[in-house]
Amino acid sequence: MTPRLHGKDLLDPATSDALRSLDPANVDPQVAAGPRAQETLARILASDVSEPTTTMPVKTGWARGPRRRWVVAGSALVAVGVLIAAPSVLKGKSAVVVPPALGSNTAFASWSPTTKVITPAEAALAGQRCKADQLHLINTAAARKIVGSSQIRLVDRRGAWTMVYLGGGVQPDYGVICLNEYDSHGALLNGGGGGASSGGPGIAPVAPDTVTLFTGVGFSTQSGVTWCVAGQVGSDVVSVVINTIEHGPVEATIQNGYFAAWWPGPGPLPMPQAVSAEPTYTLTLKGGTIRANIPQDQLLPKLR
Amino acid sequence: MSTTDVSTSDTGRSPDREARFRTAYEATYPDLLRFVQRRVHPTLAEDIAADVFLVAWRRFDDLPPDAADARAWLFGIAQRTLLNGQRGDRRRQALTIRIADAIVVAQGGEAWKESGSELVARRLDLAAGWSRLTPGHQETLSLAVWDGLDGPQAAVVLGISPVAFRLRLSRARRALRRYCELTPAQPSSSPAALREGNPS
Repeated sequence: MTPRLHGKDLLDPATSDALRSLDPANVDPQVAAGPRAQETLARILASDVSEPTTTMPVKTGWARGPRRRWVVAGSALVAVGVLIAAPSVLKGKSAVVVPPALGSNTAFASWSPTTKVITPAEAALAGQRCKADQLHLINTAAARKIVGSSQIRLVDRRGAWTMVYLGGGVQPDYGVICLNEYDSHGALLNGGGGGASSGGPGIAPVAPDTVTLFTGVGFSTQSGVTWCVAGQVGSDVVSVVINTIEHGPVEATIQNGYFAAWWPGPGPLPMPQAVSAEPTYTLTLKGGTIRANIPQDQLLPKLR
Repeated sequence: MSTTDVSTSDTGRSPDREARFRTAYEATYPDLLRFVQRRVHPTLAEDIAADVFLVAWRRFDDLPPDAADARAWLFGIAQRTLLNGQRGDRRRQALTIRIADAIVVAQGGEAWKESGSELVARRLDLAAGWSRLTPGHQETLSLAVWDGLDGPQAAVVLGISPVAFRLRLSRARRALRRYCELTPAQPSSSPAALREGNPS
């Protein structure tokens, strides 16, 4: 339908048009006439209307068990993970120190500052699921091409949660981070994914003794913000430790020339206050040289 | 009226009611599905839409006769259904709302051919700024821009007064402008061009 802005225009017309074009909903206008919608309608009309309306029907999205609590259950990531002020976080424009005592992120009780070892098969499965989730969210021909051709940069598991960093392919600067929780049988419990970056042709190659930070993402969860960082490592870098405000040193995973890590942030806060202080980075190089406490803004991509 | 007639009426199974509900369902289903899709994973959206219409069928007598008002009323049921799905003390008063990936949107359309154009830059700005909004601000802007509701209708969805909605809308608009200014889109050749977005 054509949006009706009321009173004075909501935003300037160009901005309103641009915002309308970013509507994430993707629904066929004829969907109501389709077999699934008609089947639902028939089931509703055949239902017992004397049942109390405050009781959720049996076949609700989140009442079917943990597999379907992907988004709306208490500990799930909200939607596909909300990107929070990553440019500002990375550029240090509006970093705000959040006292740790303000709250705890209970969704990630099993989180650990070091990673768990996972098998190649588990990593491949996590990567496939990340791609599948992205295609669920925007399944256009362009998205299929971009997401489908991307590669698994790395997989990082901490406790029950697994982060996947995908990138590259036909769109070199495409990247995405997924953060999912699985049960002991590998079934998806909660999770989401959010946009990331993979650099691009205009970005200078990473120097051997440093890392290039491509992405800083904040996932909004029901119980707080979770931060993810990812980028490329130089050929001499053997260890990346992120010195976080919330949890102290967090060891990043390094695979395939990339690094990534994630950590739970503070509890629920209004977004501006939830922007975390920038961490610093400690790199260990071949031969044992340690480059300690490098400010994050020194690791941003550089032009060729 | 016979006992049977009363029973039929009570259970809402009269052909007239069914026909009216069917009309409302088919007119509103796509928009309601969009409303839900923005707030949950798309694989859940149809189930939740079904829940909403089931509640609407059971509360058929409350369904506003005007189509636009009925649509807003259904959105309100959806809003409360989604909020109720959040359990216990984690319940909130607003739902985080996704925004599409500015890069994928651009590549999927003609605008990509104008890479670096004002439109692409504006989308990147908006995607980054949107992500910084509070769920309440996202909700307010989404109802006005994407759902196309006027003030009184949006107020019904949120269970607040039209005046309160107007205030929220004004604040949300200011916040979006502020965050877009704080996170200007960068051309792809810039070192700071960390292309964030939500491929959703």
